[in-house]
Amino acid sequence: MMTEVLIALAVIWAGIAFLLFRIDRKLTALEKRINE
Amino acid sequence: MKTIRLLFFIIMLVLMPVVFYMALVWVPPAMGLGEASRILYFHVPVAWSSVLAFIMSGYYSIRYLSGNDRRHELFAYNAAYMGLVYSVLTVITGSIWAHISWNMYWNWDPRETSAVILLLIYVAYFSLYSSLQNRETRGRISAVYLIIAAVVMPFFVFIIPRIYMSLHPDVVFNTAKKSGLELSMKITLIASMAAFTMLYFFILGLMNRTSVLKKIVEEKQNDD
Repeated sequence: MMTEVLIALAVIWAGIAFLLFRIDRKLTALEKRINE
Repeated sequence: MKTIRLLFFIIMLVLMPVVFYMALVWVPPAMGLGEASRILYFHVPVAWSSVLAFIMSGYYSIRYLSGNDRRHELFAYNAAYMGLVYSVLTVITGSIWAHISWNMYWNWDPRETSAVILLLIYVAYFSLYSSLQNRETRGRISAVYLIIAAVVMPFFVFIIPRIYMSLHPDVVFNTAKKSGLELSMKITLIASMAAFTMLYFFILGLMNRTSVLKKIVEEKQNDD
């Protein structure tokens, strides 16, 4: 039973990590453009 | 502004582990559902965040149409993007919970169906946004779409699941005004909703600031 709760939590944090990763990718692209 | 942002971040940083402790350790499991009932303290706040995304994208769209500031178009896009991700998370965590409670991942319950429709509304928005080439037209048409989506959303979230027979527990905004939750459960749910709302605004703020930076860099490069 607790396993399902932990799986749900892992899914939620994977989604949030994905959003943060997207921001990181945008910032990296910006950094590159500024340095060019 | 910097101080408010720092304070907001510190509160969120303290509140999040507290919510985890409350939801996973402190609060007793619900009768009948056992330990699996703890999903409630994460599933409901995520679902709430996807509703919040609708409200925010509608709000930014109104600001865009009234002021014609392109930043608001980007903010509306970011809010909708977060809404899409949160809607997917709502559907996945909901189906995990459905499997525990009803032994089926999907039942076409009115609330499950309305969650999928909300998800499709976001998907349609991104299809519309990417299909329009002219920047001005794209901004205006997609803003109108998001305002309509924000107006329609309450019917899917709060009204349709109440009109039809549902297996879903009507925990937060129930018609009988009784949640059936113990006090410790209510406190945990409210704390979790507060923490996830703060997290939503924190990530949205990061996305918006990145979009503004990108816009400034693009404009400067076009001028050069």
